Amino acid sequence: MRDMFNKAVVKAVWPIWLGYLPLGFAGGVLSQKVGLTPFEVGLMSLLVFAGSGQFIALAMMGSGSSSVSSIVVTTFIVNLRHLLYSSTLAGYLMGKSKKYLGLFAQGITDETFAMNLNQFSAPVAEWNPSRAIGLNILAHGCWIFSNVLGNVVGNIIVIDTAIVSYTLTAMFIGLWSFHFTSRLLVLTGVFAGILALVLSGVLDHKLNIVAATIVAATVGCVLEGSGRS
Amino acid sequence: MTSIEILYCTLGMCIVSYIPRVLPPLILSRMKIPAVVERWLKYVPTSVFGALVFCEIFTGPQGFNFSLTNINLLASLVVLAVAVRTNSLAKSIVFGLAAFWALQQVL
Repeated sequence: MRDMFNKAVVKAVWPIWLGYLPLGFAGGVLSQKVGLTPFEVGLMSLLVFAGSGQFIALAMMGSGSSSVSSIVVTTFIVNLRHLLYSSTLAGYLMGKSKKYLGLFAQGITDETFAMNLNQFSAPVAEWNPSRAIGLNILAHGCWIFSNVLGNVVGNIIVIDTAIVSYTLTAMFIGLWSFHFTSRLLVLTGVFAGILALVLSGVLDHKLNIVAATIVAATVGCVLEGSGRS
Repeated sequence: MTSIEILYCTLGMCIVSYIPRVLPPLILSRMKIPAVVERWLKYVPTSVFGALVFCEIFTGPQGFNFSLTNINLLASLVVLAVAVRTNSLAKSIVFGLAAFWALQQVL
């Protein structure tokens, strides 16, 4: 427990907090407009814990013409990319108990994945599964808090979230650049970015991210193989 | 939506979100990952980051924005420069937010 929530974990989680506060707040405001109670949005944030997934689901609920099954199927597609994250992180969680993995898995998002991977692969190896799950829990707690807060006070307080929301983009760019250890890794990432933009015309619900990642990673992997032989 | 429909929705969303999160660690952490899969996974992070970042930067409420007045793009160049130079995530974010704020005042 002491290694789960310590200074190193807080030092890693703060950019996520800064980003989740306005994002969750905005989600909470939307949930209130759609007619969810604070309890309902809190429960959703606890059980689903996915920014884009929740936003799209709330928008569908608000439209009035969406069925429960269509919302659930859409959420499945939007959150399919977590498959890539949990596969990548699995290598750092070898031999952990089912209970640990079951709890850890619930905390996997774009942001916790990015930060945990960065910490695990840092040259000074001070990250471990306890800290990783601690980071997930602290990020998740902030997500639930900010969603409920947005639901309760959303119609009283209006905040300009553009700047603070940019925190998460800045965080991703920083974390991405730390992976620039070979030219092939840089080019693969840029290729994935261009591909994702091109594919966004035909694939929505974040499927463009999934498809671009699978194609680009495969190309990178093949090029590495051909460069070696 | 009625509150019972919202509850069904939430539970359904929970289940379908949890499966892709939990299956890979449960399976992969108990077996030797084949070398080719391991090599492929090495290229997943940079690809995910590239895809997410490009979509964040170049997609606005009015569709694509590739112009030089794109605040996201300009601030992101600052973030990248600071990140590559300092290797510090905190500095990159702080400088990026400052640049974003300054650009908002100018543009």
